[in-house]
Amino acid sequence: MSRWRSGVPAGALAVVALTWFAIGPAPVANTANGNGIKQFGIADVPGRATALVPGAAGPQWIRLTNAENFPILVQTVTAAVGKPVDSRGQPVPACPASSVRVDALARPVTVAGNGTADVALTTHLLPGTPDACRSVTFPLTYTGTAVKP
Amino acid sequence: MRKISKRSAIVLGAAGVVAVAGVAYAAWSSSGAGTGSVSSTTSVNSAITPASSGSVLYPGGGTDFTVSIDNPNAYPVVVTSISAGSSNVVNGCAAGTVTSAVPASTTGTIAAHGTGTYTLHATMNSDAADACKGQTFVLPLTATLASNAS
Repeated sequence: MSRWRSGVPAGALAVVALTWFAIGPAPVANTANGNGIKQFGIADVPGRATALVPGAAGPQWIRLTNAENFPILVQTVTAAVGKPVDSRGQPVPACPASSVRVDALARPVTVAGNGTADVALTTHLLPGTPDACRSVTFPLTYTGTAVKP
Repeated sequence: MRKISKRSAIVLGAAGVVAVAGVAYAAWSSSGAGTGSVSSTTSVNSAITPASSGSVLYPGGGTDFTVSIDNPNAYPVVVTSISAGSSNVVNGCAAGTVTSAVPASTTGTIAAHGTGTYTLHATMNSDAADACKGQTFVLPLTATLASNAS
């Protein structure tokens, strides 16, 4: 009898089955407290907006919100810049979204359970930005990742 | 029923550990999302004002004079150009009797809410009329500025 053709005992089958069920809940990890971490929030900090000037960098303060009752370590946050709009909300085609660059989160940040943390992303309005980019608003879409430390 | 060999048991056990470890990692990671915005500032036009008039002019003569350019903005700027100037009509003295050339350079940065001084050169036409004696000439000028923030 070859040792490598041995059958799988009932005990081993149980291990495989339990493993499958353990994997099962993973897709709902974002909503299940205990099996995963809820999606954390990323938003601008009210009252801390910086007006951008061509050729200069400024802080874009964002607030990370942790809805879990334990700390999380936010490892990455990035921002995608959208097409700008003027004060009436109208598109400004002559001002490209590429006029603004937002740097990624410089270092991981711990957010307390049921808490918030304010951090700054460095934002740049590039030199040589067209005059059409005066007094416009660039929408940002934030995404990030976190782990339980 | 055949018994599982010791080697097979070790392999299965290891596989189980790997699977469980993978689940643990997935369960304790998360993602974040949200929206925000950034806004650009506006710009406020600068003003050019006389700073010094230089020496008195006579037909065919010239003098340096200076102008001040302010920066009402909250960021530093540089003057990228100053136009040529041509005098207005004054008390019967024809327009264009006194002119100033485009300056060769306009170096220097004007700080936020600061002022810069620039030297220009004016000349009086050689055929200036007698009506131009003892007059003060106003030369409209325009300048272009750009942000010099860093």
